[in-house]
Amino acid sequence: MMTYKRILTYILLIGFSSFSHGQTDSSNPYVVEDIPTPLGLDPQVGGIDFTPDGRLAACFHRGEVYTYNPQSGVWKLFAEGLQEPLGLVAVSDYEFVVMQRSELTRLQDLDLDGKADAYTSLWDGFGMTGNYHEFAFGPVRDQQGNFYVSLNLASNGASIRPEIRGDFHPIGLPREEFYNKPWSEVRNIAGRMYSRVPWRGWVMKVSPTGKAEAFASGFRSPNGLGFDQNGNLFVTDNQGDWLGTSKCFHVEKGGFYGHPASLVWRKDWDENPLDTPVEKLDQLRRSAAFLFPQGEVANSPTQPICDTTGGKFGPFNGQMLVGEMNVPRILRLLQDEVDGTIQGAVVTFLENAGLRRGIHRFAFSPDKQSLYVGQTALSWAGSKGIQRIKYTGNNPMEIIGIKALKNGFKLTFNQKIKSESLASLSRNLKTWTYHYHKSYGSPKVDAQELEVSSIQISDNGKSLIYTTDQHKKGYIHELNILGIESSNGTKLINGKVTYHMAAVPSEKSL
Amino acid sequence: MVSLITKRLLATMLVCLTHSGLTTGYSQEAKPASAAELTKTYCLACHQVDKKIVGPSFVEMASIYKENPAGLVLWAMNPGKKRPETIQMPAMAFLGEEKLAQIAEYILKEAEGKKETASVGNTAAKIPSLVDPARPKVQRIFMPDASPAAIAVAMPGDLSYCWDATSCKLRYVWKGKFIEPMPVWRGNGNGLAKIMGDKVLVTGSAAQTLFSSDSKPKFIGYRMIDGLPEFTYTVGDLKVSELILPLPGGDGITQIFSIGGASKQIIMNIPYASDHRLTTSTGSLKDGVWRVDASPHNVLSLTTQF
Repeated sequence: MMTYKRILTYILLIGFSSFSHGQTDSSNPYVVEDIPTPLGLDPQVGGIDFTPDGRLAACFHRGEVYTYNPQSGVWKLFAEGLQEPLGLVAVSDYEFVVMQRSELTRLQDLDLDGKADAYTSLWDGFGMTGNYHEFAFGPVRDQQGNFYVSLNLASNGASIRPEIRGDFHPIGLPREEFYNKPWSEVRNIAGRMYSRVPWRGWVMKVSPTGKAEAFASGFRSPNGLGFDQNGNLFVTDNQGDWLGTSKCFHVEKGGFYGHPASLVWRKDWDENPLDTPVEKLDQLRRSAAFLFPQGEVANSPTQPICDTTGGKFGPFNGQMLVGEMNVPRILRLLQDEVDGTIQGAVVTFLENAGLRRGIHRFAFSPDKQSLYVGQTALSWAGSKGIQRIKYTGNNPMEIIGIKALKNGFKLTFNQKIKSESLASLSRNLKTWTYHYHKSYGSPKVDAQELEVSSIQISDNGKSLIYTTDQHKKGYIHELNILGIESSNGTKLINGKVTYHMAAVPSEKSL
Repeated sequence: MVSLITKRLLATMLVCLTHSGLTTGYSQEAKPASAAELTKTYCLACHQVDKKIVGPSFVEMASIYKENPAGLVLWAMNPGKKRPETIQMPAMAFLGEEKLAQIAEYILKEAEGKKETASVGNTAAKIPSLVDPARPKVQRIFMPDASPAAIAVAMPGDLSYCWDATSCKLRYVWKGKFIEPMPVWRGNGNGLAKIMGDKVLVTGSAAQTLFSSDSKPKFIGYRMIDGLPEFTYTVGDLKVSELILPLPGGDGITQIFSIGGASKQIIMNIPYASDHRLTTSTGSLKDGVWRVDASPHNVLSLTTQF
C-alpha cells in the first residue's frame, strides 16, 4: 500500500572527487572541501544533523530532506514538500524533527524503506499572517528531549494576508487597518518589525509530546539557537530596529531580550510597546552576551554550535562557533562570566580558508574531526551547498580564553607565547557602544581609544595580562592581538578580539 | 555633491545631525571609514555591482541616478517600494547625508562601464519545475485563497487541490498543470504560488468548516499513501482522516473520511452541493448539509463531479 511507484531515490554523485580549496600549505590546521549535492536540487541548506548511524541529514530551501552517506557519497531522498524548513534534528536513524514555516514537524519512516511516511505536526500553535518575514527557526534539543524554536517577527516591508492563522493582537493597530488603509500609511504605525499573531518574536520550548511553553521574548530575526557545554541556551539575533548591531543572547526562561514587538503576547502587558518609553524597555531587557559589530565581525549571525569534540577539531573544545551569512567566515565565542553574567568576546575564524558565504548551519561529524557547514542565501547575500572543514592536526596559534579583570583582561592561548612577539602589539583598546532605539541599526556611539598600559606574559607562558583603565559597562572593548607568535614561531592569524562588557567586574568578583 | 542636495533633503537631515553629534568622539579618535568600507558595511549585503541579489545592482542604480546622485541619497534616506517582487529597503538615514553622499558617489563610479550579469543559478543541473512535475506531488507553500499554512497536492492525472491545515479542509481543486512556486521562493515568501490551471471546485470560505462543531479543527499531520497525503485532524471529539483521490476520468474527486470518536450524529457542511453532482456513501445530504449517524468508527465517502 505504501508503494504507489518505486521512485528512484538513489541519487548518483555529480562527481567522485571532492574539491579542496587553496590549502596547499601542508602546515594548515584546516582544509575545506565541497560536498557535492544531488543534481536537480537547489542546495540552499535550512538545517543539518548527523543520524546515530553516521549519515548526514539535510533539509533544503524547496522542502526536501536528504540523507548523505559520507563513506559512499550517496544521497537519498527522505522527505519532500516542506515549507521553507530552516532547521533539523535527527532523533533517530528513521525519525527527524524539522522546523518548517508553518509547523514543527516529526518525519518518520515507519516501513523502514528509507523514506518518510508520516509527517506529523509536533507543534503548530503559533500564528502566521502570511508576511514574508515570519520565518521559523530551530529546533535544537536539550538533554531532556525538549525542542526549542524561535519565531521571526513580520516586516513592514509588506502587509498581512486576508486569511491568517492564530489570533490577531489588536493593540496599537486593529486588523481592519491592515486591509482598509494604504500600506504606505499603515507601515509607519505597524512598527518596522511587528508581532500581530502569537509568539512572533519569541523563543518557544516544545516538549517531546508537543506541549509548548512561551520561553523568552524580545527577538527580531533570531536565526540561530544552540547550547553550550553546560546546557545554557544561546540565540543569535540580527541587526535592525532595536538592535544597533547583531547579537548573541544567553537566553533564560522569562527573559526579555530587547525587541519590544513581542511584548504584546505577555499576559501582563496591555500597552502598545511602540508607545512604551525607551527607558522602561531598556530596564526590562537583558543584555546580550556577545555583540557582533555590523560590517566588521558579522551582518547576519546564524547558528551557534558547541565544539564538543574533545580536541579532535582543534584547540577549541567547549567553545561555541557561530555562522555568518555575509562574509565567508566563522565566528568563535570566548565565554567569560562576571558575577553570574555570561558574556565574552568574539574572534573571527577561518577567514580566506575557502569557505563560501551564507554560512547557515553546522554539524560535527561522528568522528569529531570535521565540521560540516550548510550554506544558504534566501535572496539575501549568501551562497548554497555543503562544505566540510577538516582539522589536519596542525596546531594553530589561537586565543582560547578571555577573562575580564578589574583593570584589564587575562587572555589565554593554546600555545606558549614568544615574548619577543609582544613588542609589535597594539597598545590601544577601542571602545564603543550602540543606540537602543526603534530606528534600523546604529552608528558606533561614543567611540574612544583607550591606552593599554602594560601587556605581560603570565604564569605558564600561555597567558597575557592586559592592564587598562576601568571598563565601560555595556561597551564593546576591542583588542587587536595580531602580531603574537607561539614560542615555536606559529603566527596568530585571528587577531581581532571583540569583548562585550555587559557586566563590569567588581572587587568581589575577582 | 553636497550642494546638489535639495532643501527638502536638508530639512530631513536635521534628524541625522543630532545623531552624528553622538559620534563625534569616534570621529576625533579614529580614522573615518572610506566610501568603499561604508559601502561594504551597509550595502553589499543586498546590492552587488553587476547582479541583482536582494535589491537592484549598482548598474541598475546608475541607470536611474547617474546624473542625479542626490536622488540616490534621497531614496536611501527614505526608501519607497518600486519593485513588487522585492522587499523594501530599510531607511539608511542614520548614516547621515555626508556618508550617504560618499556611498552614492562610490556606487555610481563602480557601476561605470559595467553591464548587468544574470543572477547566479544552479549551473550543475536544471531544477525540476513544479509547473508540470511527476505526479503525485505534495508541496507546502503560500497558496492563494487559503491560510498561510496551505498544502498543494498534484494528483495523478490533471487535477490538483489546495488543502488548508488551518481550517483542516479542502479549499479548492483545479484542472491543468500544478503550481508556479517562484513568486514565493524568489521573494523569500513575499508572494503566492500561482495555480497553473482552472479552478473546478471551490468549497467556500475558511470560516465554513466542514464539520459542524463548537470546536476548531486541529491539524495532526498526514501519512503518505501511494504518494498522496492522508490528512489527520481532530474536531472536538472526532478524529478524522481524509484521503482525496481523483476520479478516473478527471471530472471529479472522491474524499474518503475515516472518523473515530463520534458519539452523536455527524453533521458536515457542503455549501457547494447545489453547484455540483454529489454522491455520498451513506447518510443523507440535503440543502447542503450531510448527516451521518454515529458509530464508533465511520468510513464515509463523498464524490464530487464538477
